[in-house]
Amino acid sequence: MSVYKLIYFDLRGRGEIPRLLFQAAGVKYEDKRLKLDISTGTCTEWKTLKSRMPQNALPVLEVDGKQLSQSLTIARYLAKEFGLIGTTNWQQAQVEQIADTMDDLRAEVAKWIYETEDQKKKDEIALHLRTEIYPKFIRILETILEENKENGNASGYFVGGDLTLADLSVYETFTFPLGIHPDILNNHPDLQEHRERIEGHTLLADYIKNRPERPV
Amino acid sequence: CTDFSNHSPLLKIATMPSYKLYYFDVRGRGELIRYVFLAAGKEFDDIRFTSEVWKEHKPKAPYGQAPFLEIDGKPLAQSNTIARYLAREFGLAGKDSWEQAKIDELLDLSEDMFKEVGKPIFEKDEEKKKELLKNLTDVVYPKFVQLFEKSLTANGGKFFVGNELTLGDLAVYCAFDTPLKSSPNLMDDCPNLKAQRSMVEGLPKLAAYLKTRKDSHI
Repeated sequence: MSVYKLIYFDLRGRGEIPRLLFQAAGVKYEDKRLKLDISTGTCTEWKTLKSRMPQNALPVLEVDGKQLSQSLTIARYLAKEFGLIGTTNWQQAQVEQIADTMDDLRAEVAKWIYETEDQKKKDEIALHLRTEIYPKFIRILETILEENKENGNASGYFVGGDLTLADLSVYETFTFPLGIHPDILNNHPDLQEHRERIEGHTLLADYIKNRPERPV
Repeated sequence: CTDFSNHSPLLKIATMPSYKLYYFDVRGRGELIRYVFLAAGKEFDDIRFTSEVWKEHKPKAPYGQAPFLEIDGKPLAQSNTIARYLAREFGLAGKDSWEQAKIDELLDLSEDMFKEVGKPIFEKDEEKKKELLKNLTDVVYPKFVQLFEKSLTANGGKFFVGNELTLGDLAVYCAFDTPLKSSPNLMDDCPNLKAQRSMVEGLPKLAAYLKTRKDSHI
């Protein structure tokens, strides 16, 4: 068994999907979290660590001491290692398609997070999220679940009949938006059910319930 | 080419899948996919359209976006997912999971740079546009060339991953297509990166395409 260490800030952010993968696979790892000074938003430990990271960025995954950067790459690598990325090349592509799309959604939501100076602009972004962005991505996901049912896969998971990286990506990408806009899935029972399915999953329930509360 | 696919199930297994790439007539997010087909020597239908014609194709696109690829009629979206899928099919994805991940890293890093390159192009405010362009040449390009040069050098300087051409080499080559148009000297301090670029350009399967390719701003 490889020795895994995930290095990231003490936030969910771009580290949480890898963490969920370790949980879903039941694989032990060192969850190194760099503490932030919440009042100033700075991280002293990062100042010294940054130049030692291959791309001067986090998260970094260490596998038997070898380093891997880029959160999506880390997620795909772990999913592959743990059998959580489908069983054929085509299924893998289906999983990645969804994970990449969720990253597009994350990037849109990040615009709201990073607008810290102009409240008017921030409100405009929030409106755009509610009226354009969330509906667009919700529609994409509901279509996939609908097509799955039509093709005889009523498992409620996004690809194949079981949990994959796709499900974890969808779950985690909606965590922050639901915090600021709690009603966005109200008229979308399939997606609400999916969320409950992940939160009730034997290998994930405890972790999700007890994970540290963080702003992002 | 003759279509045998209706003649027998065995022949159907033996024939190549049919690939149709749908994208605008620019490099953008379609070019890396085109490079993968070319480098692998695999035929594909390189469907290119204007924004007007896009309206006809859009309903077929799984997520309403381009590029998308039809493989025997089944659609696949997300440019990097498509590139990775084809690389795995065509043997350009490294020899094991770790190499695949190292290639992936390069695609993701290229994507980070691509997003920065796009910012001034989509910025409507002239002042802001100038600032963003300056930021590209002064901050963004130097940062990324150094990271790519470091990665390439760490692997021996010739190929980005392993010891033969992979999707990683194509992705980095593709990532610098647009930046080099406005900053032709940006690789001057990166001898390995420069040489790797010449190597990719000189590949017989790509050289002809690159020579006759129409210019596009992105």
